[in-house]
Amino acid sequence: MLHFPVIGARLKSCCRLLALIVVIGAYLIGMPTPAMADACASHCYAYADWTVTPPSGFSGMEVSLRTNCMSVANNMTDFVTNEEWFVQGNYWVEAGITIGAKYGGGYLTRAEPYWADNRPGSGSYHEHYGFGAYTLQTYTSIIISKTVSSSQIDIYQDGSYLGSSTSNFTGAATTLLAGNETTTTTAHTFGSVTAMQWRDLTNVWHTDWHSASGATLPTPDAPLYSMWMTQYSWMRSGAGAAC
Amino acid sequence: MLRRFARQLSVPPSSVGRRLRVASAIIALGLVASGCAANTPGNASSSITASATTSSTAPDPDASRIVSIASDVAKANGDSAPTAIQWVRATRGAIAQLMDFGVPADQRAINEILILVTGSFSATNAKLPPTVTSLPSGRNLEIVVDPSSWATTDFGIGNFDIDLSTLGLAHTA
Repeated sequence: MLHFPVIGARLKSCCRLLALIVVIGAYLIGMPTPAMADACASHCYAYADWTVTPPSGFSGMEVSLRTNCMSVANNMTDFVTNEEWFVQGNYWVEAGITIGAKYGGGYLTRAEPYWADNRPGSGSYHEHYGFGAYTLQTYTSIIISKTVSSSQIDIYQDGSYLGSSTSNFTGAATTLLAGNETTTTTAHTFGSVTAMQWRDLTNVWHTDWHSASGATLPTPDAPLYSMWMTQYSWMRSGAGAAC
Repeated sequence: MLRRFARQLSVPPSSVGRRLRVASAIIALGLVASGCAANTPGNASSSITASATTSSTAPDPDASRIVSIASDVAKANGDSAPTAIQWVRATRGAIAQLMDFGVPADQRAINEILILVTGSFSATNAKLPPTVTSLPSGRNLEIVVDPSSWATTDFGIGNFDIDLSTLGLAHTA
């Protein structure tokens, strides 16, 4: 003879056991939650680009970077920058402000200056940190310069020497770039690149990224944006709301 | 105790023991599975131990930490089972000279650790100009760590032929 209270109790216990099995099963299987690939995983950019053809070239560049805010959702896996690049083909020096992941381990929870380079031969790619904090909402001048006949490229922030990329390319840089780079659509940054200057092959400095040709603003990768405030000398860029 | 547990589960005590055995087996399987996962090539620390050997008798007291840093960086750069981890303690100035970059004068005397990791690496989080599409890669990682804070200050990825013993006592994990 069946008694309803007994059936109810057994049903209850079965449900509990089932729930336990589901929980443990999920643990065993690992239950990966479906991950959406970040559209900026392969790096997103908003930047000004001034590329010239040899024998034209550059022996240096200087910009004043201002970053009002800078963050990414996960500092341990992603980064965002406000920076400049001094490039000859596949070799370059870059310097600026960044927050988030350092590819070689660790991460920054505050905005800091850094520089990096990619050199010919066994030089390869390097990043350098350890220059203290950057104060948000201030202008900081970054200079990258070289003697054209030398393979050494020097980096300065607000007149202070940050370091040198040695055994890098000889000759002049043919591309100057400045703006933002990020590995995530969660990046939030708002800032500008101002006082854009360049140095010619006779080591004379000039204002504005323009002579026979001039800098362009390639279409930025969403969610980044860029715009000229004053063409060739002042660019605003970022991702997310103003701050 | 079984009776109390049975009351909580609203089932006869006789079946509780059997169910507990089943649950225990499942949990045990889970633990075994997680243990296996931790020993896959995804966990570098399983392939490289922290028992550092040196050319002298003095082991590095921070060997475990250094190997852990190296393993984490190796994993982040695509190789969870690096084939070798070596390191040396030296001044930042001497390390910069070996790695071939310039540092400010006031940083040259700082004591740091240069770690050289060997494997097969690709730097997905390297900072690149928008004009460059190929990720930096190579068989070596160089990691420079400040032991006063354990912050990493410099990194390199590529094929480096550097001899750490030129800076001092080289340790090998």
